[in-house]
Amino acid sequence: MNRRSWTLNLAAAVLYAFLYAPIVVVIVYSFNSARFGGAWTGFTTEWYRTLLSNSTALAAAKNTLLLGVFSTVISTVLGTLLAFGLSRYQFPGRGLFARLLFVPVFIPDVVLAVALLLTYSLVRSWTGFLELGLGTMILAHVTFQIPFVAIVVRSRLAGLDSSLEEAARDLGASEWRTFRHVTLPLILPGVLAGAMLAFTLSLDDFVVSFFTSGPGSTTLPILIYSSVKRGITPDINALSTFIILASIGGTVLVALLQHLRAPGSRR
Amino acid sequence: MTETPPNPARGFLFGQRLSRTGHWVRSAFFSGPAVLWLTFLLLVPLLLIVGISFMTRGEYGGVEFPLTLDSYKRLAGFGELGFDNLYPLILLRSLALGAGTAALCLLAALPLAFFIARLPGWWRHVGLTLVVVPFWTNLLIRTYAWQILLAPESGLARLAHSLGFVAAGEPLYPGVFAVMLGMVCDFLPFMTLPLYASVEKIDWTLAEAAADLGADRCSVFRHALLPQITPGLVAGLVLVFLPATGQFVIPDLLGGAKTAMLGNVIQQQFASSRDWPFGAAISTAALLLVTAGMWIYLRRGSKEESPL
Amino acid sequence: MVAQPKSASFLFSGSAIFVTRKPVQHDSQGSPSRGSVPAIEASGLVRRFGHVEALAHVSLSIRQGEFFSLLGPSGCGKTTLLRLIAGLDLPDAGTLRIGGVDVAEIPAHLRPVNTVFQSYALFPHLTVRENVAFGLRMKKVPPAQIAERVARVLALVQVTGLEDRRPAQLSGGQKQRVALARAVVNEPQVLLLDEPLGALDLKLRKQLQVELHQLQRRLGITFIHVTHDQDEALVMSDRIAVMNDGRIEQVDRAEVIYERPRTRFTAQFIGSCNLIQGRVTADDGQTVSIESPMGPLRIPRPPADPEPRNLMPQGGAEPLAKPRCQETRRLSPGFAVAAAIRPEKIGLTRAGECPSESCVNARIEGLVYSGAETQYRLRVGGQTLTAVVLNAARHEPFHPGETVICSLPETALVLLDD
Repeated sequence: MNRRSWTLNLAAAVLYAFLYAPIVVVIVYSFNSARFGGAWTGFTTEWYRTLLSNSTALAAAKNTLLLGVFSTVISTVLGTLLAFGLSRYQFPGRGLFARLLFVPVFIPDVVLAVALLLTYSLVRSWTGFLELGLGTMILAHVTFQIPFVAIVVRSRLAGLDSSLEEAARDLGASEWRTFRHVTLPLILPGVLAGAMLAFTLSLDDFVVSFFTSGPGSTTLPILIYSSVKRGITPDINALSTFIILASIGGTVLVALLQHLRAPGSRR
Repeated sequence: MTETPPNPARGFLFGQRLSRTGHWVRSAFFSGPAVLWLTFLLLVPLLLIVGISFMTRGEYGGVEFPLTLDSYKRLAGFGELGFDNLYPLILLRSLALGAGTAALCLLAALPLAFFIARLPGWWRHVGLTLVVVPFWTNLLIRTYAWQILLAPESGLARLAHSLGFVAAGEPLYPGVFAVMLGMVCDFLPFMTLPLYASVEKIDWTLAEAAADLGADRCSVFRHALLPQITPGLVAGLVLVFLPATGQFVIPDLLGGAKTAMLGNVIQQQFASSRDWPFGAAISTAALLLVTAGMWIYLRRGSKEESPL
Repeated sequence: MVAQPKSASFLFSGSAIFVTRKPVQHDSQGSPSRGSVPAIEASGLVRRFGHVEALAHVSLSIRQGEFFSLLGPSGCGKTTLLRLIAGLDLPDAGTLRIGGVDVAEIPAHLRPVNTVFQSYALFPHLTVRENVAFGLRMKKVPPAQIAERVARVLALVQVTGLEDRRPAQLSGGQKQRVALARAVVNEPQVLLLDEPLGALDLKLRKQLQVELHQLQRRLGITFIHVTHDQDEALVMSDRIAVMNDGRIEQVDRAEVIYERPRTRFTAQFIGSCNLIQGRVTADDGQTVSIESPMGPLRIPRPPADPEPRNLMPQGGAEPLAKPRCQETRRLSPGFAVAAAIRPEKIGLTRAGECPSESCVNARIEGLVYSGAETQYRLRVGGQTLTAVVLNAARHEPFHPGETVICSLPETALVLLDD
């Protein structure tokens, strides 16, 4: 090992430490017996017990999961169909929509959130519908999830060997049956990866949820935010630890999905 | 042998010549639902924001006619009470913090990307996954954790004081330093992943050839390596700069009133001040920024897999 | 000692003229003739990609039960033609009939043809059994019948015991057989093969060439086979269409294509060939006399064709720009023509006897020894020729600089169309 690679290794170690410092400190402090402040006063699992009896946190967890599951199912179906439609069929405005897909990737969350909030209140003042709540949150989440799903599935479609679909047609499969029996099974890993991404985005989202939520539709991120605003408490650290562990589990799952050899892929 | 693939523009698909109507019917089935959804919940709301930015603030919140450019004038510093640099300053601060974050992330991501790329076989996946895990972990949690890390009684704060980085009694947070630290930590994966994708593909023989030809280390990097990682670099810069500039959570939790950024002002206008046209005007400015960034990102040409 | 002109080709023996006179054999060898309706009838097919004409007025008739090869270099349009027949692409102009039926309005999945793709295109998410059953499933054949037909066809292509594997677990040769089985199980009227052996190594390719040929004979299905490999086309095909630049240069049996090429392209693409430029001095209808850089040559006209030519159909959709020298009854003196002669047809002897009518002195300029044969570069008058001589030890090898007698048998000389 020469001096240069030693420097590089050191830099990488420092950077990894930097990336993981916040994650580790939250987990460690969830076991800190001190009720307030940062000093370490001893090990305890008390906060996990309080958390499990905290009805607000449990309700928020339930809302988060409901929101995540519903929005992910809707956005995965719509996003997958959109990806296939955009790559195969022409319609006026196709180019515009292909570009519009990238807007939610870059747009600041706040802008999307206020735009949706404004639209909701406008519709509400005209029709009386769209009372803020889990429903409006699902509408909002699906809106930013569809593009991510569509982008992931489209890249999978682009990597698909077109001779496979031609072979299906050649063997007597109609257009629909080619999609159903060949295209869909082959892009399924991409669809699953897209769904995982959509689900995680929904779980992570705070800003859009914060603006579009109503009374009784508090999610975990909103709960964490409002608690943090009042001052960090150890049970919030315990809650965050659960979320962190779920994220790590999800990441490993996605990593495994991606590293499975993609069948039917040209690469 | 393999000739040009069928051209969908000819209305042709696997031995079926689809009429215009044929395409429309199929588009309606496949693209239709999502197109409708995005039209009414993305396109229309964004246009609404742009529209409202030209309207007048209503008496009890809400908006009224006539159309006016007042909100934009105010954003540029020419408010009702004469020139006030508050909002231009916020705008500049956001841009500066965004650019600073992007620059620092780049500085940090370069060694990280090269480190991972040089890991042997299986370890490379581990190194990469270790970057991806924080990326998938809730940003809110990773941000508030810095409140604990930078708290006055924390080891980090004491170390900074004993080393004389900050005057005694001066807290590390809230402040620009804390915001910057949180931003870099939160967005580092956004830079590392696309950059790594480019670094992994580097043709090292070019660097060796350059070194053979007598180039020093600096020139090797500039002439043989930099051009090869430019696509990933540009993607990373855009992916960090845009969300960092419009950030709401990080300055809200780690900064004080003195570090308010675009996102915070927009939130204020819609939440507490109830000045929708002004909030919409700031949002429109942010949208313009996004459009420019998107243009750069999509123009990179290379069709690298989306790092997201 | 007389050195006979010897054929270097391992495919044919005897003199060129004898081979060309051989009657058409394949119909009597058991391949069924199913009436007079051609399996494929194309006329005036055009396919453009942008400004490039991948197919320029291609007309072609392929008989039932025939093993037909489309031979040509990369980008000559042969794959495009195959895709038009399969229905995976559509022509910009022209008509195409399969079994007498115009297929312009019939989409790919309803055509009575199946394709073996160049990359095999086996479905990676299905097992071998499911891959082969795919076409039958799509046609809603009863499951019991599917199982039986799949088993039968897998036995036919000698893939048994691999039914539950995925394509990724197969070797190249196995994939090729499965792809073949997947197409054949549907009992198509026409089987299309797009460079089916292209991805295999030489030994396996040679073996599968024979197997494919036998399979075609057993099934009696019309095979249309696309290849850029001339050996493959010569070995397997009943007839070959040589394609170049989106056009068909010549359609004929393998022997005729090799022995009597009609165009420069055919002469030089298939095997190697010496081209001799010259001008007509006399033409008596049977023999054309020309003056060439290597002296006067007499070239007999080809015998009357035993079967009508298939090159350009009666419609004459695409007339050749230049007169066809082989068919024009009389060529006027002074007309510029080209003649072709295969290197192995050129006889070389040491000074002394002259074995044939056209004998000239030649100087050896160089040689390449390659085991079974030696290739000589000769200088004859103003002409450079390549000759290939079998190393049969009839005589001592010639040396560079040596002057030898070079004989060009009249029957081996071919007057080209262009």
